[in-house]
Amino acid sequence: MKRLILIISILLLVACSSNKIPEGFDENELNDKAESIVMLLNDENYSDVYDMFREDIKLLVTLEQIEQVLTTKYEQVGEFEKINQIVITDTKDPNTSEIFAVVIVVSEHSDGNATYTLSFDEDLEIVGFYIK
Amino acid sequence: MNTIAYLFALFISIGLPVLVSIIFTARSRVYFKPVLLGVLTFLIFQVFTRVYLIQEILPTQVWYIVFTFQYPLLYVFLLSLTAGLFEECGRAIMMKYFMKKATLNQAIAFGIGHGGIEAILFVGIALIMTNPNFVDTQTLFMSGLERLSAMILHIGFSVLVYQAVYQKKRFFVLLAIGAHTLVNFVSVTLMMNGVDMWIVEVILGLMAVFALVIVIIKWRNENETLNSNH
Repeated sequence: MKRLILIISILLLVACSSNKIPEGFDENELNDKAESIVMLLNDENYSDVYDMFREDIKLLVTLEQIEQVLTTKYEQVGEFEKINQIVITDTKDPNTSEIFAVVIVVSEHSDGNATYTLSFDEDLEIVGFYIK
Repeated sequence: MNTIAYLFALFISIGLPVLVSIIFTARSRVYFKPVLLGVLTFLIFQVFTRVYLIQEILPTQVWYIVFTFQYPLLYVFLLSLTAGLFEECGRAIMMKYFMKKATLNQAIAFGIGHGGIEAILFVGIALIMTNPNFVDTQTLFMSGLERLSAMILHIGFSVLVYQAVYQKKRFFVLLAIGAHTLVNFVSVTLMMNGVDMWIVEVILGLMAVFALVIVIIKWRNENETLNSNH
């Protein structure tokens, strides 16, 4: 059991220590894209961000659903102040084996924080969107 | 067809646990406490602790999000292990401190309470709030079957923990944790890898049948012992 905890701790430390940029992606492009998305959302330009969603993802989620989730979240955390942290990692679609870049953005607001998890394909279209 | 599937899922996830609990408590008042303790165990050790941590606290932590993407299999394993640890240790604590004595039937009632409230909260309420026309028939049937298997498995886990607490076979708590982890890990890993949902349901159903057979064997053995003592 002690060994298992040690292995998990090491994996967690390694996982969080640095960005892991997947092949075919550029770190600066990903940072800029994620930052611009967060700024657009905070300016309530939801449809501009929705247009960046890949077509197959648009079939799964509507603009109204995105708007509803974000409005509720922004009511909780208040006015946007600044971006605190951006971390990049990669992931693989278990069904198609397609590699995606995942950008986690933590933003500071007047009454709390928002954590965005944005997944991009090689064309930098959004294939995953999550906010907590 | 959609209405039948909806009613089936609704019956399994709300009607069945409520009905069985009522039948048990109507037969004898000694079953009321274990049903209630089963409900409380799920609420305290899952909803208010583990689920809260996993859904509200951890998803705001960058290290956690990175970990889920970089080690998906290990992540699923840890989720499954924590489900086993929280729920089975919870069951053992509740049985040990709030049910000084218990019969196998009371352990079964405990499992009905535990699995029943899970079905009501995680599926039943969602079904009530959903327009069945927006959910396909297969998904509705599968959600009903999945809850049925899960409730049977909860009865099985409760019987294992009962043996650990009341028959001093401590190993059975570890067995319950291991079995719970295995059930969750296998079903989630298969789903994640795009395995047909019907296959996942069949595998889950087979595990439930296995648990049911063990409970029946145990129940027969215990009744035979009781009869021979009388």
